[in-house]
Amino acid sequence: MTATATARIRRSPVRFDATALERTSRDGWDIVRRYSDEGGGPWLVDLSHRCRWDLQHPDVGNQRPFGVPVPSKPGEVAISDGFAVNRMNRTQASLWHLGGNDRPATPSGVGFTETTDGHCMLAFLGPETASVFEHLSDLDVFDPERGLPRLVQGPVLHVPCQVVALGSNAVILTLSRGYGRTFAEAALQFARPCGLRPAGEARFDEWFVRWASTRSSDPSLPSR
Amino acid sequence: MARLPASPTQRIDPSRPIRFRYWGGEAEGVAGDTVASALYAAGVRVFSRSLKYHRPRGLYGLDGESANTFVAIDGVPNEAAETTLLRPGMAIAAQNVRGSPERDLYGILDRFDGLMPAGFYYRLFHRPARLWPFFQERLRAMAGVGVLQPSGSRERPGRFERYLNAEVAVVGGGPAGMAAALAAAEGGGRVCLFERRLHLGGHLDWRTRLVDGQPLHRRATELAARVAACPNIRVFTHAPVTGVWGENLVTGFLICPEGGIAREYHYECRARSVVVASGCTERPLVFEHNDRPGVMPATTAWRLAASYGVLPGRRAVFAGGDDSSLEAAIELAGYGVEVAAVADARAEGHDPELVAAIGEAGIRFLPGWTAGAARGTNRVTGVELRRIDGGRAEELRCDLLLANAGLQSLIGPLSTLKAQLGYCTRTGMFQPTRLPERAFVAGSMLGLRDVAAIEASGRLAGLEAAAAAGWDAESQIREARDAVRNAPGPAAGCFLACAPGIGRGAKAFVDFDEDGSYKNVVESAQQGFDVPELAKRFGGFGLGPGQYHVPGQNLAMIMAALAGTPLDQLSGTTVRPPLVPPRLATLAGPGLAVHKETPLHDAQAALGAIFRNAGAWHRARYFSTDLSCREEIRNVRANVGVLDSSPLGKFRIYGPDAQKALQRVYVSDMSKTKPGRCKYSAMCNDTGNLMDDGVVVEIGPGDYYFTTSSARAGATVEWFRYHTRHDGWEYQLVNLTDTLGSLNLAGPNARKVLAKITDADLSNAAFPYMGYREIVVGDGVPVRCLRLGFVGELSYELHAPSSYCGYLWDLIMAAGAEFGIRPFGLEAQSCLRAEKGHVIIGTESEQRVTLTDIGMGFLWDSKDTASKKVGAPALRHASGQTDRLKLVGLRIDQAERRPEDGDIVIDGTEVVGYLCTTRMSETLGWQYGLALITDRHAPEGGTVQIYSNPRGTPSVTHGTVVAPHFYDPEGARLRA
Repeated sequence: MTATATARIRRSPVRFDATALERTSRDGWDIVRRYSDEGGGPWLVDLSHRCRWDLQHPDVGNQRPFGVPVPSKPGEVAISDGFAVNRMNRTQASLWHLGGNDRPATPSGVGFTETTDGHCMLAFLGPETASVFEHLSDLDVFDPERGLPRLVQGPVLHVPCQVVALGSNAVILTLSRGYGRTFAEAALQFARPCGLRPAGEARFDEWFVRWASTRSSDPSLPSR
Repeated sequence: MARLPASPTQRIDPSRPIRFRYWGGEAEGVAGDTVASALYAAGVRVFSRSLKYHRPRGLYGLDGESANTFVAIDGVPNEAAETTLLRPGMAIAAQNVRGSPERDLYGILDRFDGLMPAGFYYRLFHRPARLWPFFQERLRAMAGVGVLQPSGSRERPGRFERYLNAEVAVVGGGPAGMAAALAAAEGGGRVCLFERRLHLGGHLDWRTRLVDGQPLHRRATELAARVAACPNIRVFTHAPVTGVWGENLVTGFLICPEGGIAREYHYECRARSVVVASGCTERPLVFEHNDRPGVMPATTAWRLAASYGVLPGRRAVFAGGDDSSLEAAIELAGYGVEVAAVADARAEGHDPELVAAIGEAGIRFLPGWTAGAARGTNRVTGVELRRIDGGRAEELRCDLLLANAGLQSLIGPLSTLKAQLGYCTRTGMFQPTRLPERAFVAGSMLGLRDVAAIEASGRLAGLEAAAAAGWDAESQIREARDAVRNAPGPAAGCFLACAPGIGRGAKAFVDFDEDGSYKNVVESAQQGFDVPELAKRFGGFGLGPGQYHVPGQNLAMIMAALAGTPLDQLSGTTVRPPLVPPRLATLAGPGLAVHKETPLHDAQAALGAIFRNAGAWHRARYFSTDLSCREEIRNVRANVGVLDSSPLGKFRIYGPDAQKALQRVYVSDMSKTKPGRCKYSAMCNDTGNLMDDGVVVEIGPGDYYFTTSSARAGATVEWFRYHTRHDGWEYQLVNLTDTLGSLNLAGPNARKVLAKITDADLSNAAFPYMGYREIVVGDGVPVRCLRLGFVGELSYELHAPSSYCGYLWDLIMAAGAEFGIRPFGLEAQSCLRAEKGHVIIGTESEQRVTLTDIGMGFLWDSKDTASKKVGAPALRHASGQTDRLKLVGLRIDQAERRPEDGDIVIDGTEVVGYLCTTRMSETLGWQYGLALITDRHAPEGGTVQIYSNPRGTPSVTHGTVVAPHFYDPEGARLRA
């Protein structure tokens, strides 16, 4: 082997037409922490670099990936210690690493497949998030009867997605990586009436920390 | 024209003038005006000319009921003047006019209406047949309601869509709709309220009549304020509903205010239950010349005065069939209109309070009378009133004739909702007799006229809707039912079908949009189109943009009268969507361009790639404008090229029964799959057709990695699950298509390039053809490397995490620079693989040919019956058959015009097959073809003819049947 001069960089499928103010490098990814002129929200944040796994097991409901019990029913979401475990169906769950900057190792066990590179992961945050979503999809992700957080699987901008609504001002979704760039462009265009703008990862981190602390201090919220 | 003094009902701001242009001149409206109200205030009375007869047409309704007031605005035709808000600088022009609206060249056509009877378009000018195109062209040129200017604005106003979810959707923002929304919201659920007009309030909005000491318009304001204050009610005004559908989907479009995000955009609301409170409208009175400018429903004139401050005329005659006309007469007299008379088709049943007020105002009241004919041409100058019993008649002078035959319910939403409708012999309106599940109706469309009763019905419907959506509202519903029971019930309606004494040849219009007259209804019935649904199509009644609004109930009533059908057996026509016409651009939506791009998209774009759609992907098809891709092909054959093959399907299958599943869907013996080796195989469907092919690698015990064609990647998981659905096998599938990008490094120098970026042993002995290795490339990137040969050269397929693919591409291009590496696209790949004789599914295979027919039968493990391989019985069945299509190679003779893909293969006059792929090969030096032809013609050495007829000039070229592996048939280059 002789040719290794090229910089080893992992690239997100999403690129925003915005000026990056602060960048960081993590696990090979070039991550924008802040953009200029992010505005007061709502925001669209690219989280494609966050680790994700697919878990399949005949008895998936009794698994505890990263110490988090897989929810008992499809559509339910368990969030703990920075991990979201989304029960997809009878035998399958998706795992998202939302909190922390470390790169968790893939859990041992044959049922885990890392899918970080398979998806584009986006967060819609801030005020008017619900309105933003109304411009993108007919999925009823905020159905008050079903409670939050919850997983909805269906089309957003006609692209199959896994959508987790964490609250009325936060939605995270994943979709096939190939759609990433054009999806993000379309989302920004169609949600323009709501003022959706790109934001860096820091915006999500700040929000997630706040959200997690609110949940842990509110006993009325669903158990984690 | 000066506006009326300010009043609490006005919706305009006279202090904010708006200048616009009309028909070349300057005019002025005020803020809050619609185009229609501004034009009317500016003295315009003839808005357009009618479709067939070019009769002058004026303002009729204020809610877009007909095409009378369609105008061209800033070059965009068919804008509804009544529902379009006036904007500064608008250039407004009348439509369907040759000359001016007042003096139209084609106005003479009105005298030749005898040449245009009902259905004339289907019957006249067709014989002799050669003349029809001549007439067709002229008829179409003369008809129409507006001119589209292809060179005009390319503005796409419908760039947004909005999807709403609610527990209860309410259609109609009148008192019933608002009461329904408020009641439904008590349960805490999400409520969406849709109103077509700019303001909530419905028919209360402009009424000053006191009820319980409060003016009705104030009651509307009060209800609207309560709705606005309710946090779980979302109000959408200026948002006409285009239909209500199954499972309570409400669709419509939202007209945005000036400076809004769009002109209008489509919305959909999925609700658990829906309340339809779309209200009523005045049923047009059918009498002679009822289309003259100045003839309009009473509420149009009333709203012009009350909402827009425009005096609709000086001297009015009313010819109504409902109490609203009496109320309007009193109100308009108050605004200064001289009311010459109020005729009412009903002999009795009037609101005594209103009758008394009419008397007090000194207005002449004529119960049992109606309008028989309007006088005047470009505007009404008088009216002949007739007694209903056909007795006396009387002429009156007027410039405003406010006519109706009572009310009709706006049943459009119920019609699209598939509610069962029946004619009510008390209210004289079509009303629901059976509603779909979780659909409710309220308000004046039930025949209610008393405001308290309307609100009570709205509240009941809202509560019932909320209960249907899951709220326990039993006690509230009980109380609401009592309130409805105690309120006044439906009022008696008017049953007048058309004016008395109307002649069979009268120009009394049932439908304005299509110039459908009473005479045309008679003609339709006489020719056998004697039920409304048939007459509607034959005569075009209700097929114009106004749809049901004008002809709706009248068509049914007149046909029933002609046939002598009792009213209780009256059947109407189905109201078709869209109930209100949106712009085509609004329906077209935002022009979604979401597609898939590979991780190497940008890298290839930087090198001049020309992309084409390939399923959901945009893929690089060419890397130069030479579409024969000569250089790309030459470089792969002689040197080294790199292809982005990322859309290739990539999967992991694992679990104790994974191998059984593989055995089921693949035709080969998959138990022979080994670690470190790629096993090539194919999938068939139940009829033995080739569905997919790819390689399978064992990556661990019971753990396999396999590839599929790009086109089948999306269907693979379902394919496995479907074909093993009865077995209860335990295996899992993960789609890694997007997770792993893929590059195909191909050509005699491929090994040298790869060796520069990995330490792995790439020698032929260590890594032979069809081998699989997990190697590390560059600065630690894990790569799954498959040594394959789709293009017929030494090739390495490198599967790497997608995020690293850009890095990997850069590495390869840098490493290959000294060898002159260059990318190649799908077109070059297709040529290369065709030279090698490798098939592409769907190009060299189709539903008439089996795996065996295309020369891939060697893959099939025909002895294995235990696995129940998909397609095996069909393959077995077809194996002994003759006269089947077979895949062959063709060496095509040189010809002036070369055959192309898809040309047919003939034997004399018999079609014996077709060319799947053909190219002039620089490598071979001759044109090759892969063709599917009947087995009779398939033996090698035979000749066939290829028939081409690309642009109507036929030619025949000869070809010789050869083996379909033209290049390196021994596979030496693959194994090098």
